[in-house]
Amino acid sequence: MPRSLAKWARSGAAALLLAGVLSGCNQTLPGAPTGNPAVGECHLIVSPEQFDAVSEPSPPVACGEAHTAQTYKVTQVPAPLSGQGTRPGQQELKALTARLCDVASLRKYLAAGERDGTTGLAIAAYAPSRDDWERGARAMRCDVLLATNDGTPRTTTLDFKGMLTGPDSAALRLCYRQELADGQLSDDGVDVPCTEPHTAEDISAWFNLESSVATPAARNARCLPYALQFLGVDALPAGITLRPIIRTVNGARTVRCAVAPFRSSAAQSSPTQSSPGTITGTLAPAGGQKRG
Amino acid sequence: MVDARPDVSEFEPPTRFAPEPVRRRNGTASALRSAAAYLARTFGPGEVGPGAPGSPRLRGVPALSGTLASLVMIFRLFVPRTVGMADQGTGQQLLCSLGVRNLRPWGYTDFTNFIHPSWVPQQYYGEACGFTGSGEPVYSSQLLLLWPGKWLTPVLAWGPGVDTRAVGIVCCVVFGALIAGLVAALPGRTPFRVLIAALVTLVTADGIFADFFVSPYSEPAAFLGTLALAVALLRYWNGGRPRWASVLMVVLAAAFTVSAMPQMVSWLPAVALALLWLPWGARGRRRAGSARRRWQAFVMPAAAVIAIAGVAVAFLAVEPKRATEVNLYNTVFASILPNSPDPVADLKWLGLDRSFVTAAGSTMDSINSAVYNPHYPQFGEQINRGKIAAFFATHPERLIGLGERGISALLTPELGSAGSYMVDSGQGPGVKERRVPVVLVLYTAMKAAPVALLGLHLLTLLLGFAVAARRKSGIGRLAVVMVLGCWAQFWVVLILEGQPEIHSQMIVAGFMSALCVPLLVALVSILASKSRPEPHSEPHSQPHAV
Repeated sequence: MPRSLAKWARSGAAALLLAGVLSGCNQTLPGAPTGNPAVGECHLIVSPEQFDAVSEPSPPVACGEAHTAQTYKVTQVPAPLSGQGTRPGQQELKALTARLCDVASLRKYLAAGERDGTTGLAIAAYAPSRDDWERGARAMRCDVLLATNDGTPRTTTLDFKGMLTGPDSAALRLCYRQELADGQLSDDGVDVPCTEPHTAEDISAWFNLESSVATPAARNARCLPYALQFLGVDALPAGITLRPIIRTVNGARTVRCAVAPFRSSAAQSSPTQSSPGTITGTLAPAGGQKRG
Repeated sequence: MVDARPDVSEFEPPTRFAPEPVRRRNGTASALRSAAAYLARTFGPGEVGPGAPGSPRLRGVPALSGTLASLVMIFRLFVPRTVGMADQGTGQQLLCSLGVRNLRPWGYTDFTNFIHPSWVPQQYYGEACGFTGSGEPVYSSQLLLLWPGKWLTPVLAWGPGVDTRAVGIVCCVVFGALIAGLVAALPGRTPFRVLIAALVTLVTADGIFADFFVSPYSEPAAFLGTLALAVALLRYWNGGRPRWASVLMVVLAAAFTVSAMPQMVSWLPAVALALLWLPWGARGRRRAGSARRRWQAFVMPAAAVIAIAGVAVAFLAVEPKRATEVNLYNTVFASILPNSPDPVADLKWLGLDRSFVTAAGSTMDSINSAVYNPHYPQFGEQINRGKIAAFFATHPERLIGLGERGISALLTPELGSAGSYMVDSGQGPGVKERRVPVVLVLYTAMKAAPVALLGLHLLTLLLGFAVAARRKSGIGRLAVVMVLGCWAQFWVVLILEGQPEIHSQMIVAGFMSALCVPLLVALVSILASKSRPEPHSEPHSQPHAV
């Protein structure tokens, strides 16, 4: 190889190295301040790394645009962690998630009644960034995400606030899709949002399968008060039936109360028949449930 | 771009190595010796060492060898279907800096079972990109391979982001270039050079190493950097005296290598030794009053060592603090305490509250993690790398068990459940491909007698010293440096990076150990050949080049 060529090659290698180092600059942006989050803001969280990050400074998006998360609560990091000058580690902060970002607060934000069963929701908690923490910020942001069964966030244009009393509540409600075999529906079913074809709708009431509820009639009798509360009526309307499912988890059998149209071509207006034996939509009354 | 033959010493006569004459004793021995003689004649090094004339048939061989090596690796990784190393959750730390995110299932088990090579553009904010748990930026010379991969991805119609298959192709091309450089820098006859290069290719082609080429990890930079350093050092030693270009290549190769991964900084002492280990002839040429020669013989390599050390220090300075904390945590709670006869006494020695004993055996993510202990800030105040080193210095008996666990991990180089195939490959979850299992088989066999690994290292070291002592070839020095570098890597990983990730952290040490095999073949070939000093030959002022 001619020496001049070797020299050029070496210079090229050095230039490539320099270019690589320079171009290796991180493309991450600092984002929005994390010290003062606001309830009701929507965010687009799409990666597990965003979900698991200690702080999440992506700029809020309008809730009418595609988003995956919405802040439902803002609270303060409690002592003694709040007293630390430098931000505590990820594990310590994430351990607070269950305590600070509680399900009760979420259900209140969603305007969920006692008998509203939900599915496809995940909770994430975000602390201030290191810089904001050192400036004194201690606000903890609690977000609710719409997610698939494996946890992947789903985009939506819906506002989660009070959503369970609104017309779009079916997207959050838990329904079951049972298999039809020999004219009989299976005891258990797959969890699906009520916007997908299903055979029964959960009413957030469950009990262990014991000898006292061994028969379908006994199970229906046990579920009836909860169904009436869910439907906001004093008597089960014509066209709606009880259809509790039986779920086995780690050997323990549990009855989950659920309701369904009495016939697949039920005279319900909101749930629509999408295929034989299945419906989409919710049986919940738009005005909410009867309390008590 | 590498000289086809070593620089020629001005004063040292070349030495010719030829096969030992066959001594006839009995039938069996005679047959073996005949076979050895045939192999030595065919693949033996021939003439090596300073002043050895280059092979007239070498022209074009390095380029051909490099091209073949590239094609072999590409074929091995992409035919009949793509294989690679599944991300185990940390791959995003580096690739996110390119503004991409992985298209993969959300659940951990789902995405570790298969490789998901496609990364799509993504704008990251704050801590979402960077080291897990802190978002601090992660740097690695692997970025120098990732960026060409990013440019290549749309060219190959793999989308607008980064596809790790494109990165794999870049790695294969670089690997081929390094094999070309190796063939050019090795001493001896063409068949010998090609044989050694082929063995290096065979070692690298083992799935436990090659699969990393199609992955988001930094290991390819460590593997290729190690090879680049070997080539650069051979060139440096071949020169007989440190020329600026040779020194610059060593500096660049070393800078690339040590900045591949934090543990690669352990190369530094071995590289320093390599640069300052000048041939006797070079030192002999130093004469009083010859400032220029002193500069060339000592100052330039010393400056190179300082430059490489500077790169290493700078690289460690930008290492995420969280990574250091995690490593120290693992060392104390997952390495020292679970294997301690008296954990409370160890905690006292380390200056930690005795209540931390409940966290023995934990990682940061464990339920019984020490981070939940109210005294945890004490950990940050008391524990640092110096204290860990001092602990092992004052508790040397712990190193025995630690070393045993390290050897066991090194000889088990496959990463947990990380699959090798794509989802649509038809292979089951977590299935690993083992089409070129040469190193895997060797290591699996060694697990029956782990001391064999030490034997391999010691044999390479001793033969390396033997060849180096004859001053005939830099390959002896390279063997010594490779073994010492491997040992440094081994102990740095064990002492400073803890136990939980030990299998993945020992991969590079495993690669360096595997390189001992081709080195041994080269060393034995040289030593098995008889040296016949030749009369003084005319000095060559210009190296031949291809």
